[in-house]
This record gives sequence, C-alpha cells and structure tokens, in this order.
Amino acid sequence: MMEEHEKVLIDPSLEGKTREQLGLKPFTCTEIRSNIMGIPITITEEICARAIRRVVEGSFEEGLDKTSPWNDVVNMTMFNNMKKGKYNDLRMEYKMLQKIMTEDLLPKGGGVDQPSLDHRVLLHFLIKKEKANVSKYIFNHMM
Amino acid sequence: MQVATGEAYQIKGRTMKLEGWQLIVQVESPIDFLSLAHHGCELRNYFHAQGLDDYFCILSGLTYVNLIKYFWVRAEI
Repeated sequence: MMEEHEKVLIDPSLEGKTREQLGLKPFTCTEIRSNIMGIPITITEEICARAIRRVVEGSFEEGLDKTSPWNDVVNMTMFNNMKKGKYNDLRMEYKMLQKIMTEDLLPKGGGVDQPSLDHRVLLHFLIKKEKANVSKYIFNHMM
Repeated sequence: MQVATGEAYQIKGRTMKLEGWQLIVQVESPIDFLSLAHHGCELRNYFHAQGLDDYFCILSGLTYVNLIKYFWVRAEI
C-alpha cells in the first residue's frame, strides 16, 4: 500500500491505478525490503522459515486485545487460574520458556518487557505443545 | 558491493606473553538444555514439539576458536 501511495503523491493523476499500471511488482505477500552495502535484501515469512529450517504452518494469533477470550485460555495455561498472575507465580519450566521466547525467539532491543497477549498466546502454544507458526511470529516481530 | 572504509586496517600488537596455543577456550551455548535438564527443568520436548531443534542448533552454532585466541592475546582494557 505504501508504494502505491508514494507514486500517487508524486503524480496525483495516477490515483486509482492498479499496482501493475503504476509499474510496481505485483503484490504476492508482505515483504521487508532493505539494502545492505548496495545489495537489495528482501525478507518474507518464507525466508524466515527457511532460515530456521521449518515450514510455514501452525497456529498464529495477532492483534488480540483485553476483551479477547484468549486471555482466559492463556491465564489458565500459565497460572492454572482465570486471573492473570505474576511472573513469580509461574512454574520454573514456564519461566524458562518465557525467557527463551522473549530472548531467543522474539528478541528486542532495550530491555525485556512483559510479553504482550499475542506473545503470551505463543507461550500457550509452546506449553501445550500445539504447533505454532513460529516463522510467522518471528517475521511479524521484525516489522 | 560498497566496501570503502576510508582508513587502512592495521593489525594491533600483542598485549601478553601467552601464546595462542596455550589458551583453552570454553564454549558456552546460549541455552544449555542439558544443564537445564540436569537441574530438573526439562525443556527439550517443548521445542521438539515445535520442530525448533534445528533452530537452537544454529543458535549454539560454531565458535571461531582460533580467531578468539588471536584476538585474546591482543586484548586491551
């Protein structure tokens, strides 16, 4: 969407044209594009999956908010309780799993925060051994 | 590819009398599943279920032992 928007900003008469008419590559999937020392780099979910030697498949949830029924599911899995507990209430295995998830699967600069509900759902998949779409989680985390 | 660096690279002098071959490098893995299991925290099955065994192998990856020794004898504080 951003690319079309840029083209129209430069030449308003292009408003309403398709990507192909604007001379852009057809849209296939979300990509991260960058440039390292003059070499164009494209990252997609597929590339993340290949890098971690895994297929793009499994459960994935995103954009969940406080009212989502996932809250209860996640609290039940993590704390065996409908109410959200504290980090200290977690079993040792779950503490370690959460640590590995935030530091090695979905790392981020500038310290470790409380994981978001989206990430707690990933933790739920890990604990329940339900196959999660880890490459998609990693790719979305990069954006 | 753009590889202009401006300054020419220089090799630093050694800062200690020890020779590289006298050093022993201890390689640590980011996540030591064996040690965790030994301390009563078995996590391997969780990541096996996700098909992530290979990923953690990559994380533990190779360590460039010779390069580390080379830099170590040239280290400065």
